[in-house]
Amino acid sequence: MSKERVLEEMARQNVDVLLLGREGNARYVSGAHRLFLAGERAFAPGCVVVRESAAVHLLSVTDFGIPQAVPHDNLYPISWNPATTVGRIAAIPGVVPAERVGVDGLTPLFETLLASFLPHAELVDGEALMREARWVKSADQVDSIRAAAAVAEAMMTAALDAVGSGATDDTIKAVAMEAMAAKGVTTAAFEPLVERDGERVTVAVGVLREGWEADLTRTVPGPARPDALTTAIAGCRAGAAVAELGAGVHGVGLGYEVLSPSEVLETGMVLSVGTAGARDTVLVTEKGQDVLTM
Amino acid sequence: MDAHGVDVVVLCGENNVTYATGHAAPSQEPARAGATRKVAIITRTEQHLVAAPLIDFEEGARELASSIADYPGTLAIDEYPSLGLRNALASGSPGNAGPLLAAAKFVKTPDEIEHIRRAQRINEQAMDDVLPMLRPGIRDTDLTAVFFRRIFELGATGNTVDPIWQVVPTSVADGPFTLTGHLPFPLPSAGRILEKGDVIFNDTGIDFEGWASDFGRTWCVGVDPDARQRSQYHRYLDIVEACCEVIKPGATAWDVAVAARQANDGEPPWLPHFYVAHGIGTESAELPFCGTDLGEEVEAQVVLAPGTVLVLEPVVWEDGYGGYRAEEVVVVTKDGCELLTDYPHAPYE
Repeated sequence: MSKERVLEEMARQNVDVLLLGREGNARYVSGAHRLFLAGERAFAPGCVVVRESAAVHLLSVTDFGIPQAVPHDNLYPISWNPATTVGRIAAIPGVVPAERVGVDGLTPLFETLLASFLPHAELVDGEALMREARWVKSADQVDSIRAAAAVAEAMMTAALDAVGSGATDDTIKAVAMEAMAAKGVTTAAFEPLVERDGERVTVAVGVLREGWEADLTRTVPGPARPDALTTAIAGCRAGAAVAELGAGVHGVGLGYEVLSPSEVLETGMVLSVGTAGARDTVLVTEKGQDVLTM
Repeated sequence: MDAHGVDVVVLCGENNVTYATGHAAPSQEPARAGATRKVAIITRTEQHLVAAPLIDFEEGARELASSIADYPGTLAIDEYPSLGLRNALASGSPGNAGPLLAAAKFVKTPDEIEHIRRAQRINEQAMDDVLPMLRPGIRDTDLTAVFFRRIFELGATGNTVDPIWQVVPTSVADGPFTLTGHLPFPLPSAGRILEKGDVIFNDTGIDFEGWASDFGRTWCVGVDPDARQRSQYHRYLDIVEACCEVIKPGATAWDVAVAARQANDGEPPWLPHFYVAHGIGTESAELPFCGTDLGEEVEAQVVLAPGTVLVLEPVVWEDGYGGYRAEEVVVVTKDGCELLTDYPHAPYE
């Protein structure tokens, strides 16, 4: 289970408490589905993990979308006063005594507040810890990404039908988004992209289904998967150096994952691989790759 | 920058970069938005946008810090996307760019107001096609499908919030658990099939070239509102009117909250975890806030000015009988305020 992966990493890196602002990190460790907002957000601690008690605490006024494993006592409400928020977090058992506190971002204001409420804590890189935990996917997580891929395919089918009937770029985006929601999924990884180069039309879609991402790009007319993409996918084998993969490759999981340039690929990682006007979502396996899209 | 004694401002926040430079990032999920962000380095005479795809890693953070170090002087930053960037900049002792940004964003230019108006108009036109779909048996996510189709056909740059079509109970106790004793709102849609008699609080927002809309109305599924529900709607109108009477240059955020409370028999007509009004701009909710837990001490210091844009969102609630919630975008003018929202309150009118 994801929470156990995080607790293992906390033990390995000797981190006592995690303060997480990134929604993908919070969802990974808690399973919580909070309201989706597009766009980058400044750090604010929306999730707290305490190693000693193995407790996950979440910012939420309700248990709607919150797994039963997180009891009501572990929810804390939103405040418009950051000092109130940090005060509530400091009241969580195990937080004030913590010596090493991982954060996945910071702001000048929260830096000051944390120094005042947690004077003994050394801040360490919580994002690096979460990246380590999230890097390799379980079979269940791969199934979730596969289900997201099916939704991306439905978006692509609708978009390419619209391309075929001569629709405008806005209409192509519109029908792709409509097709996604018709599958019950209302969160895009990014708004559909449409690019034209003479007769050729490239459509890119990305979806978050229950938080899990799949990406798909196709260009028409032309082969669904050009040789260059097949070659790029074949290069994504366990043991390959991330630095040699090229700019068109990034990780996916609970959203976009930045690959560490100093690491090598491992079995169980899921990648979004794109080149030559096409992109697929790909699982790195022991024997090679499993393409999860189309 | 002059007023705050700052020579170099570093902006890592997407909405802050849009505000300061006009660079509108595409609408993306948070992690992708972070990884593909452009960081703005702004001095009194120039501005630079730099990509920072490896900002989460020490090397990438150091590289960005060394670009920033090319610009001497007193430094302020809005946020540290990674602890690595904070550490790499520590020797420059950056100040907090938050107050400087808040002061700048507080007053919108006519062009910025026009962008908000355009965003609002697209949002409203899309609702013209959603409302006729509302009937018993339809799923909340099917309403989202119609909404998505229309906003993109109408030229939206992006969708900013998972559209909310929340069925509200008549009593808070009949709904999901809540820490506040009041309604938990907003809740994401989850494929719920709507039933005859359901009352829905909807809340949507789109992005037009980097500027936000905010739309909210209360709808009834398959029935017309009864007399009690209509009286809730009239109370809502009274509260909006009372707020609009005080909203003018020189009024404070606290004045707006007081006016709303007075128009509701002294009870706050908003959810305790929110406010009766919030600002809007490159973010769907930004300063100023009226009626938050910051209280009088802070909000009485926040003075409205011509060009401040507010979203009023009172909630009228009679536990046991449900309630009415909607949103009105208003802009502060020279001597009062003007509604940017232009949308009926069907089926309550």
